[in-house]
Amino acid sequence: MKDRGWSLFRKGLKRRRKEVLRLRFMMGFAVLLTAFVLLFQDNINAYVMENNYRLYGRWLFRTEGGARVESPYLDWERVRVGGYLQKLYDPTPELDPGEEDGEAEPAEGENREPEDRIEVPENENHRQTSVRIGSMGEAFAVENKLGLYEGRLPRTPNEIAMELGALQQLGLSYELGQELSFYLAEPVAEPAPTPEKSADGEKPETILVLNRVSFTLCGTLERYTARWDEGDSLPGALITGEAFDSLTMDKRAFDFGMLKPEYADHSVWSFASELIDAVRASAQGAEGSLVANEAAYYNPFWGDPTLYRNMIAVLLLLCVSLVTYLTAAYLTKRKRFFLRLREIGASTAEVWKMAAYECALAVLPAVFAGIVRAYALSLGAVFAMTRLSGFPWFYVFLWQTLLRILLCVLVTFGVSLLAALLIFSGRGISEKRRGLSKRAAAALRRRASKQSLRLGYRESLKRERMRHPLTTVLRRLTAVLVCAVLVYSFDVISGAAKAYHANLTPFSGMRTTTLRLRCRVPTGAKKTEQFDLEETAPFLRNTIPEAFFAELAEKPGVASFTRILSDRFRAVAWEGKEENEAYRQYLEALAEEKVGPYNRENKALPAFLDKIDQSVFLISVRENAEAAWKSFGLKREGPEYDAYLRGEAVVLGSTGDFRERAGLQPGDTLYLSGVNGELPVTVAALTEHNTQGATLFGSAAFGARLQALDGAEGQWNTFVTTFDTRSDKENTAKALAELCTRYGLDYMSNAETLKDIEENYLRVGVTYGFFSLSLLILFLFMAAAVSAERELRLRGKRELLRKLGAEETAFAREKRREAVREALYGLAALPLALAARYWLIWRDLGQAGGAACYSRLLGRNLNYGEAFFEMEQTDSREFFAFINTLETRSWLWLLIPLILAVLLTALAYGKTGKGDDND
Amino acid sequence: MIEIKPVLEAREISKTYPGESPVYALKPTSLRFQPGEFTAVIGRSGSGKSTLLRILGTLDKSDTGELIIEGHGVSRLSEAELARFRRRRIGFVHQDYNLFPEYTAWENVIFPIRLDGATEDRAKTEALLDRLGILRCRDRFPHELSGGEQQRVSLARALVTEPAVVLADEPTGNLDAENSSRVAELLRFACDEYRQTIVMVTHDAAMADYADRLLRIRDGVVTE
Repeated sequence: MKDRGWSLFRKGLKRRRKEVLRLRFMMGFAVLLTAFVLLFQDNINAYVMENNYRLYGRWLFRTEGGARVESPYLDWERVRVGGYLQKLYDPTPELDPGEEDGEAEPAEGENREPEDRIEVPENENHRQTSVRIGSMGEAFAVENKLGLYEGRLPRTPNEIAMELGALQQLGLSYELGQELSFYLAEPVAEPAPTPEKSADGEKPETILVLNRVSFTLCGTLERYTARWDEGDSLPGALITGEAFDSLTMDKRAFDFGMLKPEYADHSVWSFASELIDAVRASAQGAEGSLVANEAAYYNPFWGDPTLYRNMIAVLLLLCVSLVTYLTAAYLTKRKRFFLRLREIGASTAEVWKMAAYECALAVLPAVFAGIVRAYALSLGAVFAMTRLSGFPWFYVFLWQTLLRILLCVLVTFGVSLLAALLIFSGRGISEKRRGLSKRAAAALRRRASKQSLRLGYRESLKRERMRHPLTTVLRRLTAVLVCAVLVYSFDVISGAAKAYHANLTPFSGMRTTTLRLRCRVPTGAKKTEQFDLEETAPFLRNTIPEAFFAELAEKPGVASFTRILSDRFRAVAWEGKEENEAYRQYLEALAEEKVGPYNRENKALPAFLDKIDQSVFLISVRENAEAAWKSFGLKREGPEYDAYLRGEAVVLGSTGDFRERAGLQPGDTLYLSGVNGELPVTVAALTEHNTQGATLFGSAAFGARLQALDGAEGQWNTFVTTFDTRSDKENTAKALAELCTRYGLDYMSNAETLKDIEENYLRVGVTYGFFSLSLLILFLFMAAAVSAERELRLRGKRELLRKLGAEETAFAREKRREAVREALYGLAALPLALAARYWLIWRDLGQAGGAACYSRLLGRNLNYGEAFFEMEQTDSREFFAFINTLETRSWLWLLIPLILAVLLTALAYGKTGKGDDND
Repeated sequence: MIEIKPVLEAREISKTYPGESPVYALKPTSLRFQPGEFTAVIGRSGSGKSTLLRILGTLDKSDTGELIIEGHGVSRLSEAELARFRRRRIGFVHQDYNLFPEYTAWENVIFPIRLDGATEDRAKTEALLDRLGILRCRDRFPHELSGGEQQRVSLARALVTEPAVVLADEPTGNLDAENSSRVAELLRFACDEYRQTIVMVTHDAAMADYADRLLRIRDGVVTE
């Protein structure tokens, strides 16, 4: 095999070791960064998606009532659901419909023969569970990862698979193969009221007919119904379709739309709006039952797959640019060497081949080394991520990603080499010296026609840019793009920080409070079925013992706690309450909705009004009343404040609508009814408070007066605690839960939500932070490479200018000026980033999950209906998005990374390379 | 007898390039160039011709001695003053023409004037271009010109500021015989017409015939 001088090339490379090492370092680093980010992000993405599927299913849309709309992107599956599992006979025997309390334990050894058909009053407290029975295709169950604990899904009509939680809910010990028997209710029509019962206005009693069914337990499932969106309406007990058909009960059907595998990378939301509209149009009433499963494709790291792909595209683009510049810079340095090759008789093709060979020798080892190192680094990063986030260890070996990176880098290298060689040939490697393009010549001629131009280095640089407009534009566009991504990333991180500090949950955008533990009333306070209200009174009688607070104060991880006396549904009267027209209209509207016409014939009305009157006032007494007063924006002076501290006045918190209806003003007297009579208090001030009805905020003295009114003892029944930020919140929450349980206190913990928020902040910070940092480093590398390459290219020009009498200082000055000018183009990223932000907000608002976006932007908990209402209140979705895009504080924050990036870019462009010339 | 002051005077200038084995590019040399004198410097490749020219052109500083142009000691001038001086009083002509590819022939010629912040005398410049036979190519870019034309543009650029000294580094190296003699004639013309001092480096003996004075340089040593 002919050597053709290749060995000389290798020798040459060894002798130019320093230069080659520098090139390899830069190239290797670029590949390392790009490959690492791709491998790491693909890994995290794969893990998150897998986790999403496992937890939330693969389905995207769910409709009810046959509102299935054909879409090229979706496969539809039907899931049928029947009634609740009503009761279980075997082995528990307490099935007697006459028994009042279904919670009673069965007598030892009692074993009655169950009846196949029984009748029970609907209102009876029997042992109804929230588990529904239903049927779904096995493929659907498998695709949506309905995890089996053990056994399998039903295949014969007598088999059943149940959620483990459902079995536990039914109080069963279970084993596979066991026969389970329970009742299902037959469909009931609304009974006509019987004369004797309708006389007092009460709702007639409905009798349920329960049929006994038996199945053999063939598998136990993870509790997917608790995880899926509105999963409580889905079957927690699965039987075959055949068995389902044979059952007599209320039946419903849900259609689930799943993204076809070939569209797995498709942006879900690109067709969501059209689909939602089509579903609404297809069936009457379908609108309310449409459920979008945002969780299936939710990526806590990137938001959605489109964004992820765009970010990766930007990264690859930058990598391509960098590889091109590095190759071009290297070849420019070697220009004279290759020119000499031409002089000694090498053809242009041979010179190109040799140049390509030399570049490959210089670059490819760095590329392979970069990929291998990236792989090792991504392993380490995934490991660190799992440790930080509490995930189980995973690593998905992504052959495809690895090959894609390799292919991408090689193709990039090949293309950039070709491009560089073409550029190179234009600068004198080939015999034919390429002149100016027609367009460039025309532009330069126009420029030349301008009189009195100050010719010099600056003008020369300007014309240099005019000669290579495409390179200039691409370079500036890259700067804008990189800065835009930086600004956007910073925007996302600051948004996560904002959400973290405001305790907004990452997924729904709902605000959650700090860990809250509340003493609940352990009474037989009976749930009134008609109005769903709790009776008043005993809240204040059940307070938390001081010993509890003493122990609480000792718990590690608890930073502070505020004690609260919380009261509910207090009957309150005031002057002119009944005469107030607006208030009466409000009651009428409520009554119409709940119990029918607002007239004397409606016997249920007085009882309803009595209860509803009481329900509109909540009471909250804070331990630190002074701070509470200040938090309402009120001045801590004056007679109102003194009365508030003495417990003789309260702050009335309500919505403006309520105040208008009730006609209440500061100075009005409220009469609070209690066990021992009435307690008059003055309204010291009004404040905006988003609550149903109104809330009275008072001091500890007011709490004491209120308790005296009810004859209650003790002082506090609720408290809110904050955790030490450095503590292990999870363990602190567990310790507090244990403490509450020991004192018999009911508690509500937001610890897990808070943990989610914290983790989301960390994830977003790490993901976007690292990505933008990688991008910035790559870009700065590119800027430095561009600068070095230009330095070399302009060297001859500078020498000539020197000969013509240009000052040395002018070169340095112009270099700095040019660096600043090039960097300043990055500022154009701000409107671009804001436009992207606007578009994302606008898009999110229009999606099925727009409520989360509204909640996040408004800092309030909004469900879909409320969000829809809010949207209607604003002039338009566009205007709302626009206003929120231009939020002033965000603007200022966004300038920080942008200015930093511009400064660094200016430094990189302004860097004066040594411009090694080997010849 | 009236002593004519030399335009360019080099007193004991020398240049050594340091390294493991230092290269003595120019050994201590003293030279005087009178106004309107056309000097040719002949020597082999690597003999130190270009080094001498760069020092005379104030592009490089000599390690020893002093360079005096029109009575001014160059070593006492600051970088800015030196640049200004070079801009106004020295013209360069190169073997590779060294024209700016992005400027038209006209712009290349007037470049040194504009660089100085001044405005060119249009009629005078056109007359110069006409004399050099390149007026018709004034709006062309360098790549649209032939080698001879490019070199004449380069020469026009060197002459347009009416410098005291024109330094030419193998100006005919890339030209055919016809164009070479034309460039040499033009240099001779500049010398005679404008009393400009021409120092031309060449290894073409025929070109040296146009000169008044011949300097030989060998291993950094200059002899007459």
